[in-house]
Amino acid sequence: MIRPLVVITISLILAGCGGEPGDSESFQNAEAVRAEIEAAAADTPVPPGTTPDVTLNDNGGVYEPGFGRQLVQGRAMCAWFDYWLTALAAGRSDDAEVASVASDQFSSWDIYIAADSSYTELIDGIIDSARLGDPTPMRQFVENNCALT
Amino acid sequence: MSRHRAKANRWALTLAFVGILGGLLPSPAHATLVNVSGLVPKGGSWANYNTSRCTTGAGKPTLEVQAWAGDNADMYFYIRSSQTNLAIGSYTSSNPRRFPLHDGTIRGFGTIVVGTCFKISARKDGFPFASGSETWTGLLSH
Repeated sequence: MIRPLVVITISLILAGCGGEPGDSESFQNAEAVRAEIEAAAADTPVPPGTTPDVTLNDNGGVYEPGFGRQLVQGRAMCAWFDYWLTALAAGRSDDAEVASVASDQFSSWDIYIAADSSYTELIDGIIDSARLGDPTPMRQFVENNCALT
Repeated sequence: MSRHRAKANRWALTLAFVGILGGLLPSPAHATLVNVSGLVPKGGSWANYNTSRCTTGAGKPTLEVQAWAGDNADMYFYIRSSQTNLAIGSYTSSNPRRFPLHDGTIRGFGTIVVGTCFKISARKDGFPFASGSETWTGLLSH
């Protein structure tokens, strides 16, 4: 019965120490992220007449693969929400419908797929509320997450 | 290895992991585990993670993080808006939250706006021979 105790002890020691060998090679530099941004911008739909500002404010950082694409998709989502809110405020129901249809694609985007339920439930709830006539959660999301200033 | 001994080992492993998880993952009501799968790389660069979490509840959401800074280097964290890449909360890249070497204290990032989605940035600092990387875990309560 000594061996089980050894296993427990080793497991607890490993858990307490942390600091396992790193895998920093899995990160990429800003140049690679900018290439991702360029590629994602080419295939991410945005509202008519808009060009979301997607710039990487790099301070010598390293980035998980996919960071650039999710940055583009996050900005595109903001642009669609803003387009939707503007259409509702102006009474342009056709434009609001365009945004509503476009939002059906969000669930296929990497930024949505990679997130946990706290993100997906928030986005789903915002869209559902807007479709039911209450754009307040969408407006709050834009105010909290989409301002570039 | 006898069947009994193998069974005992499996139980020991299970108990060990349950104990580890129990220690790592406190579970108050209305809380979301924020467990970025990435590692904090050596070299002092800011590492920016894709993983996004949102404050979906009412009230005053807070984020607490526990990290163990081993390998001869402190760690630093701050959080950013998922959409804008800009720092939110009380810390920035020039004023990050410090996790001192060999100190596993849970540290807060303050109140986060309801409906905010955020990612985290982290880096290691310290002695030039620092090596290896660290994982971290956090708890978003709301």
